[in-house]
Amino acid sequence: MNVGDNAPPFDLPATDGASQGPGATPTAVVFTCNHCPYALAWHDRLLDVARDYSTRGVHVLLVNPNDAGRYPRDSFEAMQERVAADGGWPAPYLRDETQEVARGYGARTTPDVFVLDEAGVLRYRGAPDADYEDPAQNAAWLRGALDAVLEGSEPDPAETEPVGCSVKWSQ
Amino acid sequence: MTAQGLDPDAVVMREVATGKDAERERFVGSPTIRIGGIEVAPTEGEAAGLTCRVYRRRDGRISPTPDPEDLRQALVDSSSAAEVGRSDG
Repeated sequence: MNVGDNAPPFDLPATDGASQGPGATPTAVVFTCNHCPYALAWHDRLLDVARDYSTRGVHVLLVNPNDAGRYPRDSFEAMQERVAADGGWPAPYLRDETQEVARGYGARTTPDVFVLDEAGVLRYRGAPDADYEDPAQNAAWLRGALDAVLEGSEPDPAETEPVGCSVKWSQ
Repeated sequence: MTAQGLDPDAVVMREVATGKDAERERFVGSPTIRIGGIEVAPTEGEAAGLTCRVYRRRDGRISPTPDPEDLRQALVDSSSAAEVGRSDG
């Protein structure tokens, strides 16, 4: 999927039992997981984005597509335990059991960020920011993309190289 | 390594490609760094498997690699141990 393409709709189960997917509001779809150090390093920054932009009508969806057969720490049960241990998250944590959503988006890593506008068109794809090791980066690329979408302008950059562990595809 | 008087070319990169290999090697994730067979960042109760390894930097940050200071210290310790071994021998 390229910037400017319509993102595939989806509806996936969240750890709280509800099903969720992109709606008619700007949405950040973030492929992530439980066990990848890059995903964990960026995790708090992504949750901060969910908190900070929820009042502006932005929907953040965290999607775990990893094969739980080979990576039990990414099972739905492990996802539920993680969210519960944190006392809940400000964004739903969704399970992509069949990996169809990840394939449809062309997700490559955890994390891999896709920002959609209110029409479901992909406006940004890539990393949350330039350095997983530097919390001060504060998910600047993701925030910039959301700001641009909310203002009706084009994100700059509109695409960056996703950085993280490879998505663990079923074999 | 050079600062410790060690040869950087002595680093051996090994790919652990299968679950069986991971079990046999007691490999708990990538990257796993051993000096003289000893883990730079020992783990307890971690299951062997083809996964990504999570390290903690000294300031508490999560990282895909060990803290450089931990690596440096492990090299110093291994050099010291080797020196003692030579003296004892």
